[in-house]
Amino acid sequence: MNKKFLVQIIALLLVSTSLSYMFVETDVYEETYSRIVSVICLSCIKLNRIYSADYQFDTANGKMHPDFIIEDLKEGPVFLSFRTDVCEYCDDMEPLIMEIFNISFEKEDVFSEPLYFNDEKISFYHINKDHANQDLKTLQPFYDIDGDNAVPMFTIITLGYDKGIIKPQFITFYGILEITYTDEQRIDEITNHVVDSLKLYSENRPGFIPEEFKK
Amino acid sequence: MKFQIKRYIAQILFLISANLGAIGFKTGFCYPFFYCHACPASSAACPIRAIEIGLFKGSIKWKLITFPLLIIGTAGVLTGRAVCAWACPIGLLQRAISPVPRRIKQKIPFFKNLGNNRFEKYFRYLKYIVLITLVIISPFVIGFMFTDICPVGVLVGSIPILILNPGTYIPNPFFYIALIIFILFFILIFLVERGWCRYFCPVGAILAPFNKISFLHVEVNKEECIHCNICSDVCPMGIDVANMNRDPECILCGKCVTACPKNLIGFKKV
Repeated sequence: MNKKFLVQIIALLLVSTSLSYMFVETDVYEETYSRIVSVICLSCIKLNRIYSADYQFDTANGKMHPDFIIEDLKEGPVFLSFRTDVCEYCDDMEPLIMEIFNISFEKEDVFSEPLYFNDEKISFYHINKDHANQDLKTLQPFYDIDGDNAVPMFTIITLGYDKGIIKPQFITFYGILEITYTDEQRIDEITNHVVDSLKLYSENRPGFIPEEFKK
Repeated sequence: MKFQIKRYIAQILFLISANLGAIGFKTGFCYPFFYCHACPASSAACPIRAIEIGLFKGSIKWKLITFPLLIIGTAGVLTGRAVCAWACPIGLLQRAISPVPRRIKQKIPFFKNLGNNRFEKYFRYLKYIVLITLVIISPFVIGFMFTDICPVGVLVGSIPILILNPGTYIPNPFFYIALIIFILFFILIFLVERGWCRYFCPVGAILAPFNKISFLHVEVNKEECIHCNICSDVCPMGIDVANMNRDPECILCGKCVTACPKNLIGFKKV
């Protein structure tokens, strides 16, 4: 047998069987999809979202809020922080979030825990999409008003008054907020949003009936 | 149907399939060619990005590193660098522009030897340097990645996102650095035919060695060759076709095959 042909056959067998093995035995397809294809990393595309943060009642995907969010809203506002492993803006923003809430975590961590801000309770979710479970991975579309799955993305869910009904309402902001801000201004801005959400929550909590918003 | 028309059709079909995300068809595959997943219409992942994420800041994620390499490797073992000529959308872009650098070479004496001088073969090693330094070492050591400054990312990612979402995004300072590289990319492909493929494409750098062992390749009957050099003149990669032997730069476009007046050049399987 020709030597070159033998090398070709071995090379083909090697790459094709390895590729088949990866498809069958690993989750590389899902990982590539969830880590790369379905996510827009704002720092990677060298863009920042023009900063705006307005409260809205309707979720971005038009569905009811997840039950566990409604459950958390019985106790206080909810703060969601979305990121991926490879995301420079996330790395820039997370120390500020840690400082605001006086907590510490690693970028790979996925957790939710109650925090106290000015002695008031907030449910804090840190969601690294590369490591999150399915429930948390699918949480972003509810609050992603751009619909781009961009990271970093921050959402604060609180309560508001809409045409005679007390409902969950939320703000979402992306990236590093206003591009010209200093870190101190970013901390002030996010802190103001948190304080506003707590104020709205305390004003509206007495009229909130969680069961009406559960599926 | 003329051979080069068939190639146009193949390139357009691959361009469409690379952009099926526009109708919601997004997959977890990596492209076997150079295209950006940040494109709003992309249907798969950039292979370079997958490798970079797999190596980011000292982490080694074998799955993300080997997956694109195996996809490119399978294409490479079967057809060598044919992907560059038959499937790559950036190859199609350069092909569409190619009359310009050809005209420039003919009309302006200063550019006559551009892409065709004795130092040129050394420039071709740049793509391997780009692959090793910006795709492998730099993401692994400092987190700075080739895709952070990728001109194709600007062309099919950042600019379409800005246009499709007016008033939503603004460029960050890094955008302007990438924009300069993007402008240089365009100057290059307007001056040197297939300049990107020749000197800088990291996917081309991965594919090129496979030309040595690929099942499909271009073969020249050297014994009967009359050395008219028509093949080398039409070659978009600037190869000395008459003397080539499974050249890593050959993209199997077939221009030399159709141009040879003696029919001494052909595709050969195995």
